[in-house]
Amino acid sequence: MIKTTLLIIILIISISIYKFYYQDSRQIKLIKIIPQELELKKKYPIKSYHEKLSLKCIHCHENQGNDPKKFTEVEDEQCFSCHGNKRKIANRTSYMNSLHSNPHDSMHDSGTVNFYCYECHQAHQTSENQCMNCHPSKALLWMKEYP
Amino acid sequence: MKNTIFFVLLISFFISLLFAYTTLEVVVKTSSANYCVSCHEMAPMKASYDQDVHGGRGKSGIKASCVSCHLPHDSIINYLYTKVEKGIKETTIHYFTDLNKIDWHKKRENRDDYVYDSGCIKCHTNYDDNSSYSLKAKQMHMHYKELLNTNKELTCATCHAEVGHLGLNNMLNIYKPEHKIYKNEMLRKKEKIERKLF
Repeated sequence: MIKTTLLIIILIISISIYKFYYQDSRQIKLIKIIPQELELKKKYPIKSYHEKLSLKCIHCHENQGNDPKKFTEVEDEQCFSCHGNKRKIANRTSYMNSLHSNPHDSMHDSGTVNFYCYECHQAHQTSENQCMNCHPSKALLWMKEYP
Repeated sequence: MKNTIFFVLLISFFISLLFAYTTLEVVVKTSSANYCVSCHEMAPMKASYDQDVHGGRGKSGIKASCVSCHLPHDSIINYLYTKVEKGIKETTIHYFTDLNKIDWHKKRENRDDYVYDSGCIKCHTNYDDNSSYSLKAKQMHMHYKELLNTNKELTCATCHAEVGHLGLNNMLNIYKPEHKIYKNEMLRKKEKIERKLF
Protein backbone atom coordinates (compact mmCIF):
# COMPACT_ATOMS: atom_id res chain seq x y z
CA MET A 1 0.00 0.00 0.00
CA ILE A 2 2.68 2.49 1.10
CA LYS A 3 4.95 1.43 -1.70
CA THR A 4 2.31 1.99 -4.36
CA THR A 5 1.34 5.43 -2.98
CA LEU A 6 5.00 6.40 -2.87
CA LEU A 7 5.53 5.17 -6.39
CA ILE A 8 2.54 7.11 -7.66
CA ILE A 9 3.68 10.29 -5.89
CA ILE A 10 7.22 9.97 -7.28
CA LEU A 11 5.81 9.34 -10.74
CA ILE A 12 3.59 12.44 -10.58
CA ILE A 13 6.44 14.64 -9.33
CA SER A 14 8.87 13.42 -11.98
CA ILE A 15 6.33 13.90 -14.76
CA SER A 16 5.53 17.46 -13.65
CA ILE A 17 9.22 18.37 -13.33
CA TYR A 18 9.89 16.91 -16.78
CA LYS A 19 6.96 18.83 -18.20
CA PHE A 20 7.95 22.14 -16.65
CA TYR A 21 11.59 21.93 -17.60
CA TYR A 22 11.45 20.51 -21.07
CA GLN A 23 8.37 22.05 -22.58
CA ASP A 24 10.46 25.01 -23.68
CA SER A 25 13.67 23.20 -24.55
CA ARG A 26 15.22 25.04 -27.43
CA GLN A 27 17.12 23.62 -30.33
CA ILE A 28 19.89 25.68 -31.79
CA LYS A 29 20.07 25.85 -35.52
CA LEU A 30 21.96 28.21 -37.75
CA ILE A 31 20.13 30.65 -39.95
CA LYS A 32 20.86 30.61 -43.62
CA ILE A 33 22.62 33.65 -44.95
CA ILE A 34 23.06 34.15 -48.64
CA PRO A 35 26.84 34.32 -49.36
CA GLN A 36 26.30 37.38 -51.49
CA GLU A 37 24.74 39.14 -48.52
CA LEU A 38 27.73 38.30 -46.32
CA GLU A 39 30.11 39.77 -48.88
CA LEU A 40 28.00 42.88 -49.18
CA LYS A 41 27.94 43.27 -45.43
CA LYS A 42 31.72 43.43 -45.39
CA LYS A 43 31.65 46.14 -48.02
CA TYR A 44 28.76 48.01 -46.46
CA PRO A 45 28.98 47.32 -42.72
CA ILE A 46 25.98 48.35 -40.66
CA LYS A 47 25.95 49.89 -37.19
CA SER A 48 26.09 47.63 -34.15
CA TYR A 49 22.53 48.32 -33.12
CA HIS A 50 21.23 47.33 -36.56
CA GLU A 51 23.62 44.38 -36.75
CA LYS A 52 22.18 43.10 -33.47
CA LEU A 53 18.79 42.82 -35.15
CA SER A 54 20.34 40.85 -38.05
CA LEU A 55 18.76 43.29 -40.48
CA LYS A 56 19.01 42.41 -44.15
CA CYS A 57 19.73 44.92 -46.92
CA ILE A 58 16.16 44.87 -48.18
CA HIS A 59 14.72 45.75 -44.79
CA CYS A 60 15.84 49.33 -45.40
CA HIS A 61 16.36 49.40 -49.16
CA GLU A 62 12.76 48.61 -49.85
CA ASN A 63 11.26 48.93 -53.33
CA GLN A 64 14.70 49.44 -54.83
CA GLY A 65 14.82 46.22 -56.82
CA ASN A 66 17.04 43.16 -56.41
CA ASP A 67 20.38 44.56 -57.52
CA PRO A 68 22.40 45.86 -54.55
CA LYS A 69 24.56 47.96 -56.88
CA LYS A 70 21.55 50.09 -57.70
CA PHE A 71 20.56 50.69 -54.08
CA THR A 72 20.33 54.36 -53.19
CA GLU A 73 20.09 56.37 -49.97
CA VAL A 74 16.85 55.78 -48.12
CA GLU A 75 14.26 58.46 -47.45
CA ASP A 76 13.25 59.61 -43.97
CA GLU A 77 9.98 57.71 -44.31
CA GLN A 78 11.89 54.46 -44.49
CA CYS A 79 13.60 55.24 -41.16
CA PHE A 80 10.27 56.27 -39.66
CA SER A 81 8.65 52.97 -40.64
CA CYS A 82 10.50 51.55 -37.63
CA HIS A 83 11.46 54.63 -35.63
CA GLY A 84 7.98 56.17 -35.57
CA ASN A 85 8.04 59.83 -36.50
CA LYS A 86 9.93 63.03 -35.86
CA ARG A 87 7.85 63.91 -32.80
CA LYS A 88 8.52 60.54 -31.19
CA ILE A 89 12.25 60.79 -31.80
CA ALA A 90 12.29 64.34 -30.43
CA ASN A 91 10.54 63.10 -27.29
CA ARG A 92 13.22 60.46 -26.78
CA THR A 93 15.79 63.20 -26.15
CA SER A 94 13.41 65.78 -24.71
CA TYR A 95 15.50 66.25 -21.55
CA MET A 96 17.82 68.30 -23.77
CA ASN A 97 15.03 70.82 -24.35
CA SER A 98 15.94 72.44 -21.05
CA LEU A 99 19.00 73.98 -22.71
CA HIS A 100 17.40 74.18 -26.19
CA SER A 101 19.96 71.68 -27.39
CA ASN A 102 17.69 68.83 -28.43
CA PRO A 103 19.07 67.93 -31.89
CA HIS A 104 15.74 66.37 -32.89
CA ASP A 105 13.76 69.42 -31.88
CA SER A 106 16.13 72.13 -32.97
CA MET A 107 15.42 75.74 -33.87
CA HIS A 108 17.44 75.10 -37.04
CA ASP A 109 15.11 72.30 -38.00
CA SER A 110 11.71 73.92 -38.33
CA GLY A 111 9.71 75.87 -40.88
CA THR A 112 11.54 76.14 -44.16
CA VAL A 113 14.72 74.41 -43.12
CA ASN A 114 14.46 70.67 -42.63
CA PHE A 115 17.13 68.17 -41.78
CA TYR A 116 16.99 64.69 -43.21
CA CYS A 117 17.95 61.76 -40.99
CA TYR A 118 20.95 60.83 -43.11
CA GLU A 119 22.53 64.26 -42.81
CA CYS A 120 23.64 63.28 -39.31
CA HIS A 121 23.04 59.53 -39.12
CA GLN A 122 25.00 57.44 -41.61
CA ALA A 123 24.00 53.79 -41.72
CA HIS A 124 27.14 52.46 -43.43
CA GLN A 125 29.87 54.81 -42.25
CA THR A 126 30.84 57.00 -39.32
CA SER A 127 28.09 59.50 -38.68
CA GLU A 128 28.59 63.21 -38.91
CA ASN A 129 27.36 65.47 -36.14
CA GLN A 130 26.04 68.55 -37.94
CA CYS A 131 25.91 70.56 -34.70
CA MET A 132 29.73 70.44 -34.64
CA ASN A 133 29.97 72.41 -37.88
CA CYS A 134 28.74 75.63 -36.28
CA HIS A 135 29.14 74.92 -32.55
CA PRO A 136 32.48 73.09 -32.43
CA SER A 137 33.28 74.09 -28.87
CA LYS A 138 29.82 73.55 -27.38
CA ALA A 139 28.30 70.62 -29.22
CA LEU A 140 30.36 68.07 -27.32
CA LEU A 141 29.11 69.47 -24.02
CA TRP A 142 25.55 68.90 -25.17
CA MET A 143 25.80 65.43 -26.68
CA LYS A 144 27.97 62.54 -27.80
CA GLU A 145 30.41 62.97 -30.65
CA TYR A 146 28.77 60.63 -33.15
CA PRO A 147 25.03 60.21 -33.31
CA MET B 1 -2.47 0.04 10.35
CA LYS B 2 -4.61 1.16 7.46
CA ASN B 3 -6.17 3.88 9.57
CA THR B 4 -2.79 5.35 10.51
CA ILE B 5 -1.70 5.52 6.87
CA PHE B 6 -4.93 7.23 5.93
CA PHE B 7 -4.53 9.65 8.82
CA VAL B 8 -0.93 10.49 7.90
CA LEU B 9 -1.88 11.00 4.27
CA LEU B 10 -4.77 13.28 5.24
CA ILE B 11 -2.60 15.43 7.51
CA SER B 12 0.17 15.70 4.94
CA PHE B 13 -2.43 16.69 2.35
CA PHE B 14 -3.65 19.58 4.50
CA ILE B 15 -0.11 20.65 5.40
CA SER B 16 0.85 20.78 1.72
CA LEU B 17 -2.35 22.69 0.95
CA LEU B 18 -1.52 25.24 3.64
CA PHE B 19 2.06 25.44 2.35
CA ALA B 20 0.86 26.02 -1.22
CA TYR B 21 -1.57 28.70 -0.07
CA THR B 22 1.07 30.60 1.96
CA THR B 23 3.53 30.39 -0.93
CA LEU B 24 0.93 31.78 -3.31
CA GLU B 25 0.04 34.54 -0.89
CA VAL B 26 3.72 35.46 -0.42
CA VAL B 27 4.33 35.45 -4.18
CA VAL B 28 1.35 37.74 -4.78
CA LYS B 29 2.19 40.10 -1.93
CA THR B 30 5.79 40.45 -3.10
CA SER B 31 4.84 41.33 -6.67
CA SER B 32 3.65 44.94 -6.34
CA ALA B 33 5.75 47.88 -7.47
CA ASN B 34 5.77 49.27 -3.93
CA TYR B 35 7.32 46.06 -2.63
CA CYS B 36 9.84 45.81 -5.47
CA VAL B 37 11.12 49.30 -4.79
CA SER B 38 12.12 48.41 -1.23
CA CYS B 39 15.16 46.53 -2.53
CA HIS B 40 15.47 47.29 -6.24
CA GLU B 41 17.04 50.57 -7.28
CA MET B 42 14.33 51.84 -9.58
CA ALA B 43 13.17 55.43 -8.96
CA PRO B 44 13.67 56.58 -12.60
CA MET B 45 12.19 53.32 -13.84
CA LYS B 46 9.09 53.75 -11.67
CA ALA B 47 8.69 57.39 -12.76
CA SER B 48 8.85 56.45 -16.45
CA TYR B 49 6.60 53.43 -15.90
CA ASP B 50 3.95 55.74 -14.46
CA GLN B 51 3.93 57.69 -17.76
CA ASP B 52 3.49 54.59 -19.91
CA VAL B 53 0.35 52.75 -21.00
CA HIS B 54 1.72 49.69 -19.23
CA GLY B 55 1.72 51.71 -16.02
CA GLY B 56 -2.02 52.32 -16.20
CA ARG B 57 -2.07 55.42 -18.40
CA GLY B 58 -4.23 53.80 -21.08
CA LYS B 59 -7.99 54.27 -21.48
CA SER B 60 -8.64 50.58 -20.96
CA GLY B 61 -7.52 50.79 -17.34
CA ILE B 62 -5.25 47.80 -17.69
CA LYS B 63 -2.04 47.99 -15.70
CA ALA B 64 0.89 45.62 -16.02
CA SER B 65 2.91 44.98 -12.88
CA CYS B 66 6.71 44.77 -12.69
CA VAL B 67 6.64 40.98 -12.67
CA SER B 68 4.44 40.81 -15.78
CA CYS B 69 7.46 41.64 -17.92
CA HIS B 70 10.49 41.15 -15.67
CA LEU B 71 9.88 37.52 -14.72
CA PRO B 72 9.55 34.56 -17.09
CA HIS B 73 6.05 33.22 -17.57
CA ASP B 74 6.81 30.01 -19.44
CA SER B 75 6.58 27.75 -16.40
CA ILE B 76 5.79 28.12 -12.71
CA ILE B 77 9.09 26.54 -11.63
CA ASN B 78 11.11 28.91 -13.81
CA TYR B 79 9.04 31.84 -12.52
CA LEU B 80 9.63 31.00 -8.87
CA TYR B 81 13.29 30.14 -9.41
CA THR B 82 14.00 33.43 -11.19
CA LYS B 83 12.05 35.38 -8.58
CA VAL B 84 14.10 33.95 -5.72
CA GLU B 85 17.37 34.27 -7.63
CA LYS B 86 16.77 37.93 -8.55
CA GLY B 87 15.50 38.71 -5.08
CA ILE B 88 18.67 37.46 -3.40
CA LYS B 89 20.87 39.20 -5.98
CA GLU B 90 19.12 42.57 -5.69
CA THR B 91 19.03 42.53 -1.90
CA THR B 92 22.78 41.92 -1.85
CA ILE B 93 23.36 44.77 -4.28
CA HIS B 94 21.03 47.04 -2.30
CA TYR B 95 22.88 46.57 0.98
CA PHE B 96 26.48 45.87 0.04
CA THR B 97 27.41 47.90 -3.05
CA ASP B 98 27.84 51.56 -3.89
CA LEU B 99 24.59 52.39 -5.62
CA ASN B 100 25.81 55.70 -7.03
CA LYS B 101 28.32 53.86 -9.16
CA ILE B 102 25.70 51.94 -11.14
CA ASP B 103 25.73 53.07 -14.77
CA TRP B 104 22.06 52.77 -15.75
CA HIS B 105 22.62 54.07 -19.26
CA LYS B 106 24.99 51.20 -19.95
CA LYS B 107 22.74 48.64 -18.27
CA ARG B 108 19.98 49.42 -20.74
CA GLU B 109 22.01 47.57 -23.37
CA ASN B 110 21.36 44.36 -21.42
CA ARG B 111 17.61 44.81 -21.57
CA ASP B 112 17.28 41.48 -23.42
CA ASP B 113 18.30 39.72 -20.22
CA TYR B 114 15.69 41.16 -17.90
CA VAL B 115 12.62 41.52 -20.08
CA TYR B 116 11.04 38.16 -20.81
CA ASP B 117 9.22 37.59 -24.09
CA SER B 118 7.00 35.00 -22.44
CA GLY B 119 5.68 37.86 -20.29
CA CYS B 120 4.97 40.12 -23.28
CA ILE B 121 3.33 37.35 -25.27
CA LYS B 122 1.11 36.36 -22.37
CA CYS B 123 -0.89 39.54 -23.04
CA HIS B 124 0.12 40.38 -26.63
CA THR B 125 -0.90 36.97 -27.93
CA ASN B 126 -1.75 38.26 -31.39
CA TYR B 127 1.56 39.97 -32.11
CA ASP B 128 2.31 37.88 -35.20
CA ASP B 129 -1.03 37.91 -36.95
CA ASN B 130 -2.58 41.31 -36.42
CA SER B 131 -4.15 42.96 -39.45
CA SER B 132 -4.11 46.42 -37.89
CA TYR B 133 -0.29 46.51 -37.78
CA SER B 134 1.67 48.43 -40.39
CA LEU B 135 3.45 46.51 -43.13
CA LYS B 136 6.80 47.12 -41.49
CA ALA B 137 5.59 45.85 -38.13
CA LYS B 138 4.31 42.66 -39.76
CA GLN B 139 7.59 42.22 -41.61
CA MET B 140 9.67 42.74 -38.48
CA HIS B 141 7.56 40.41 -36.36
CA MET B 142 8.00 37.75 -39.05
CA HIS B 143 11.74 38.45 -38.88
CA TYR B 144 11.58 37.89 -35.12
CA LYS B 145 9.81 34.58 -35.60
CA GLU B 146 12.30 33.46 -38.23
CA LEU B 147 15.21 34.10 -35.89
CA LEU B 148 13.54 32.35 -32.97
CA ASN B 149 15.51 29.31 -31.72
CA THR B 150 18.63 30.40 -33.58
CA ASN B 151 21.84 31.88 -32.22
CA LYS B 152 20.74 35.31 -33.44
CA GLU B 153 17.52 35.31 -31.48
CA LEU B 154 15.90 38.66 -30.82
CA THR B 155 13.72 39.61 -27.91
CA CYS B 156 10.78 42.01 -27.85
CA ALA B 157 12.83 44.59 -25.97
CA THR B 158 15.65 44.54 -28.52
CA CYS B 159 13.50 46.66 -30.82
CA HIS B 160 10.92 48.05 -28.38
CA ALA B 161 13.64 49.87 -26.49
CA GLU B 162 11.61 51.94 -24.00
CA VAL B 163 8.62 49.64 -23.76
CA GLY B 164 6.82 49.86 -20.44
CA HIS B 165 8.89 52.89 -19.47
CA LEU B 166 7.96 55.83 -21.66
CA GLY B 167 10.76 58.39 -21.64
CA LEU B 168 13.23 56.16 -19.78
CA ASN B 169 16.19 57.83 -21.48
CA ASN B 170 14.98 61.24 -20.30
CA MET B 171 14.24 59.99 -16.81
CA LEU B 172 17.66 58.38 -16.41
CA ASN B 173 19.26 61.60 -17.60
CA ILE B 174 17.25 63.57 -15.07
CA TYR B 175 18.51 61.32 -12.27
CA LYS B 176 22.03 61.01 -13.58
CA PRO B 177 22.87 63.34 -16.48
CA GLU B 178 25.13 61.82 -19.12
CA HIS B 179 26.51 65.29 -19.82
CA LYS B 180 27.56 67.61 -17.02
CA ILE B 181 26.06 70.71 -18.60
CA TYR B 182 22.51 69.57 -17.77
CA LYS B 183 23.22 69.00 -14.08
CA ASN B 184 21.47 72.04 -12.59
CA GLU B 185 18.41 71.86 -14.81
CA MET B 186 18.01 68.17 -14.14
CA LEU B 187 18.28 68.62 -10.36
CA ARG B 188 15.28 70.94 -10.50
CA LYS B 189 13.31 68.46 -12.59
CA LYS B 190 14.27 65.61 -10.31
CA GLU B 191 12.83 67.35 -7.27
CA LYS B 192 9.53 67.79 -9.09
CA ILE B 193 9.40 64.13 -10.04
CA GLU B 194 10.37 62.89 -6.59
CA ARG B 195 7.41 64.73 -5.07
CA LYS B 196 4.99 62.78 -7.29
CA LEU B 197 6.73 59.46 -6.82
CA PHE B 198 5.89 56.96 -4.10
